[in-house]
Amino acid sequence: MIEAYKEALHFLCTPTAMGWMLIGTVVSIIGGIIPGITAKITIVLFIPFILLFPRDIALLILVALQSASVTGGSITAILINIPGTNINAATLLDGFPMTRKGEGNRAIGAAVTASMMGGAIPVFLALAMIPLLLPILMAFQAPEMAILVIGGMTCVAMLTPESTTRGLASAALGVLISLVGYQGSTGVSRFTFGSMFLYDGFSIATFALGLFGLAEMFDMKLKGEKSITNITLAQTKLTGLAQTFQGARDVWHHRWLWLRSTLIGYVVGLIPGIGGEVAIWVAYAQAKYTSKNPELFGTGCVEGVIAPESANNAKESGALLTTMAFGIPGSGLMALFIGAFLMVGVVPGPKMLTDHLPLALTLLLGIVICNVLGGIICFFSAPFLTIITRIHMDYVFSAILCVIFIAAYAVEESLLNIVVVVGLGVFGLIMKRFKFSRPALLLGFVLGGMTELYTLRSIRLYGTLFFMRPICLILIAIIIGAFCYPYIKRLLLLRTQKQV
Amino acid sequence: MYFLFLMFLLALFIFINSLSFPYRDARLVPVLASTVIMAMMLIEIIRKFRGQVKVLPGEEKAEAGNKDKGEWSKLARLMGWVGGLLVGIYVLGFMFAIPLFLLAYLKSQGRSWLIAVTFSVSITATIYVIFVIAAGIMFPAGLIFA
Repeated sequence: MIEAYKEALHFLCTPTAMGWMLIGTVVSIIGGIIPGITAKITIVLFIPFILLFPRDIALLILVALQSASVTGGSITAILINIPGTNINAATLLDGFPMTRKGEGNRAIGAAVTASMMGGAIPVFLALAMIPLLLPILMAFQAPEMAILVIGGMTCVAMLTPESTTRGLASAALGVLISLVGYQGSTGVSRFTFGSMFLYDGFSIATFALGLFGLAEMFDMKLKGEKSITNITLAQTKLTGLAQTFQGARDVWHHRWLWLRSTLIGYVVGLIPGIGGEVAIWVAYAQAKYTSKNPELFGTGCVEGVIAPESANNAKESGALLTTMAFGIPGSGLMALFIGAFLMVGVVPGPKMLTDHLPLALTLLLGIVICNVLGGIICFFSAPFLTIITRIHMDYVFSAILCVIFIAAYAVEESLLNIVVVVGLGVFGLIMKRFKFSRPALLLGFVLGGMTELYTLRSIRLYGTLFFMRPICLILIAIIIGAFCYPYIKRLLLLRTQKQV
Repeated sequence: MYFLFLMFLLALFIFINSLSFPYRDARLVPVLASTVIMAMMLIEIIRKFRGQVKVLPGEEKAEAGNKDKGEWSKLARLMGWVGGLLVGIYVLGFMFAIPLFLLAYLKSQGRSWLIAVTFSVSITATIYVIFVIAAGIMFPAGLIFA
């Protein structure tokens, strides 16, 4: 084992490896920042060239292309309210309000530091947990996955500050929208109204661009906002890099929150097919419920940035480990990784950790280095990137509108998709005005397909009482407990006040 | 209130539509999800009628939006620009429509020719480098140039 570590570290310290990791990390950050271009696209673009590189370098580049995209995606989520990747969606809730208050650098500093540490440290945890993983993974079957997915959506709905019923309705609407198109198991075309364009349904990027990015731009223009940040430089206590460092200090100040969120991200990320979408919301929910000031969440609270950003990077190491150790892809991205492994002659599975241990360690340690590199680059770029939030709205709105239209076209290569994004932008504006939860809608959309898949499979295998399994009942109890917790807390507080 | 009714009616339409799907597997989740929406909207409507829900900041303004002609005209102007860009992309293609839109929009907001032209050219060039050269996306030429 020690020899394998030495071999991995020796390889990673070579100029060639460091150079390619740096290039991959920069491309990954740019891919994460630009709406519509995700890690999946950058990896898909690279895969045709994989055989031109030596095996270890090729796989290391793949890891680098994936590692920092979420960190890059947090920057757009914070600065312009567009999640760069769908697992940055929770960061919007407090990241963008922080930018509006003139604390964009602080939010980026906190996000990047939390991401960097959340992505790097669980790798060592991952290696220690390998023997324990298999029973955990095998215990999670279709019924448990169905309950976990529904639980994740309920979590988000409960976070809607004004009304849980509106949050639940939003999540359910998101599920419905995800069902548009051709259903796999029956071949039935649902809600397509005869349109071939709707046959494949909508994409997540389309949703994020319209519901968050465009809706926010419309809202700011209608309110006559002069710029994204409505606080002048003179009104902010700290500016530039000083503010970014404050964000980093915030992570240290909330280190236990960071640790809990990282563990949540890692553990949930291990479960194949669930991934970051649920992890970030569970992390956000626990941050809110354990905070001394839960009422500040959603108004620009740094804890609301630290929690999801720790979780979303931590999940990546868990997902890669599951992919390598068991050959089970945790997501579409990991399925691409499996394809890449096979192309270079490496078969993922339990034998990979015995026959190719130095390679496995190289990739896992590569995640650590790329996360740190990505974090440093984003950290010191923050003061330059936040300049965009002080530019006049005329320039920002027109430029971002063009970028959104281009990204909308790029996602589906169809002009009709731009119409869909505009429609979603208007709908997102209406939802914002009527206090319906857009994050719940997005999560319902992301998880809708999985909800249907696991629910139908569970019914087929175990009947309608599929949820009567022990792990399911525990998960249901946790969900109900989390649902009732704020009401119980309020009741106890009222009782205490009456007694006083 | 109107929006809540609208959501309820939408969910009802989806519910009825879903019942017509031929297989249980295709019906189940749409029926369940639309039922959840109808139930939640019913709860919200009842709570509103009973006065249990305080009018949320912004919601009163949103519901009274009909009376605020200023906001409607702003929205119409905004949609005009968005629609104009969309039509421009369809007719002229991205690489002509985008700089023209940027130029026209900035001029309409009172910016000088120098700033408008410089901004339009820089953004278009940046878009070209990132999306066309680096990402390799092929944009359609537009109706006129097709």
